[in-house]
Amino acid sequence: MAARIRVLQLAITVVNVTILALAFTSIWPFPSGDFRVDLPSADEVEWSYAAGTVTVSAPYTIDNGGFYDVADLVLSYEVTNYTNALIHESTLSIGDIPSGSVRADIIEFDIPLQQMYESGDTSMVFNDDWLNFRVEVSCFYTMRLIKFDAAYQVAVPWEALIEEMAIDAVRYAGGQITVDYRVTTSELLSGTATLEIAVYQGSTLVDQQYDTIGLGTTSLGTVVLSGASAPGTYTVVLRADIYGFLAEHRESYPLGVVA
Amino acid sequence: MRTRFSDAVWTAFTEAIRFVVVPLVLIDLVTSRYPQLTTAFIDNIGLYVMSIGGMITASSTLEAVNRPGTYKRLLFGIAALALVCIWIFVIFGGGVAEVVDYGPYDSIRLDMSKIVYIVLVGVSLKGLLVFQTFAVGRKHEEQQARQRRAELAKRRAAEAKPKPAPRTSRSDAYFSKFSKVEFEVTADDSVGFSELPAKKAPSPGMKRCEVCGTEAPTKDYVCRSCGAWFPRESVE
Repeated sequence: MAARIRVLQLAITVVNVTILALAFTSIWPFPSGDFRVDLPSADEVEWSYAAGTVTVSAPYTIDNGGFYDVADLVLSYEVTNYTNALIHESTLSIGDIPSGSVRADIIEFDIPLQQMYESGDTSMVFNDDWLNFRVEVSCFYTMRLIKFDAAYQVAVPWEALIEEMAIDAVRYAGGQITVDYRVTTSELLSGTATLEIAVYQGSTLVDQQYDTIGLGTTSLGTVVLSGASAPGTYTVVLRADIYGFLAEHRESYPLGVVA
Repeated sequence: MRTRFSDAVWTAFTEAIRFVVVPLVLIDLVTSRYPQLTTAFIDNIGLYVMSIGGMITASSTLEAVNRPGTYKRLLFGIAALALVCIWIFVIFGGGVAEVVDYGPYDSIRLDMSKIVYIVLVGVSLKGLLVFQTFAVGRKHEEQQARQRRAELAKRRAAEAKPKPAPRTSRSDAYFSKFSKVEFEVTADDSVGFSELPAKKAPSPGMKRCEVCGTEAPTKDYVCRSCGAWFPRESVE
């Protein structure tokens, strides 16, 4: 009888040691960092612009250095702006990651800026913003005995495509108005665009000039407009069509100021 | 050889270390190192560990105090086991742990409830051991009790004086000579019984006794042969 008890005791011990080993090998990779999910940080996010669409790329890495395979890995994300308006959301079903392997990939999505602009949502074209990335990762581990969920949030600054259009100075001398202007566009843009500089007295066009500005940088320029002989208030207007986005800036100057 | 009392003291000491002291130290280490960690019972985890661990210690001690094979030992053994299961469930927060604001993560949720249930099943297996110990101890106890009874009976028999044979009555003595055998009751006709021949009609002025069949004068009230009474109607 004592022998039977000892056998039972031994069997129970073996079972319990096995269970403890299973529990330990299941849990240990998480605090030890053997199982690691590296989601994109703000400076890893890359932007590109083409044909009215902004493409956002954000790399991520999932390192399964644990003892068991990762199953049913799903990565879902949503992007909202500063006002909490939804920009984009999607779900990626990555699937299984075998033990000891690393999965590196890119979260990539498009922001249809042109489409948004045409529908009246022009804020991202002319205003800086914060794009809030909320990424959620879920997967199973240890033969689906453990469920892992993680939520990650990062705010990435968005620079407006047309950041600034300004008149630095307006000088009047001998019937001529000299306008110093400045146009700053996002680094996502490249090439050149045509800037129209016009002077109005009331609603009457006094004179207009065109200048070519470089995109993706700050363009400074000076134009001289003529025909402003009569006293009154003059309005200087800067107008440009940059990648299909119409930008306009206007300022009024009384004749006394335009001395 | 250790007595049950020393066993109980040792059990109380080891169980208090296992289920109260060491867990409290570990919990303190974990909560101070990972203050963002939350589980279902984390707010009062120290209190739970002390109270449930204390009950485990008490039950285990009472289990050790009692002899193997007694119902008390079985009861406290099972109680201790059930409390250990509750203790494990509480310690691991039901198997669901959440970490808030950990590194770049807003939240991490680890659902290990299935692992915890497997651990509970593994721990519950110890119940088999408790039952087996009880069964073996019980058998041993009964065997010892039988032996004690037999020895007591033998001792009493040896100590007792020879008594005179008990008196028996005459009838007892008479019937005691008979041996008990099985017998079968058979029908009368199977042993040769047959109806009597039809009785002849009595002579004039005479009647026949119903009991012995003797003829008697009709005026008689009583049969002269057997003394039986004649029916009233037959007396003239």
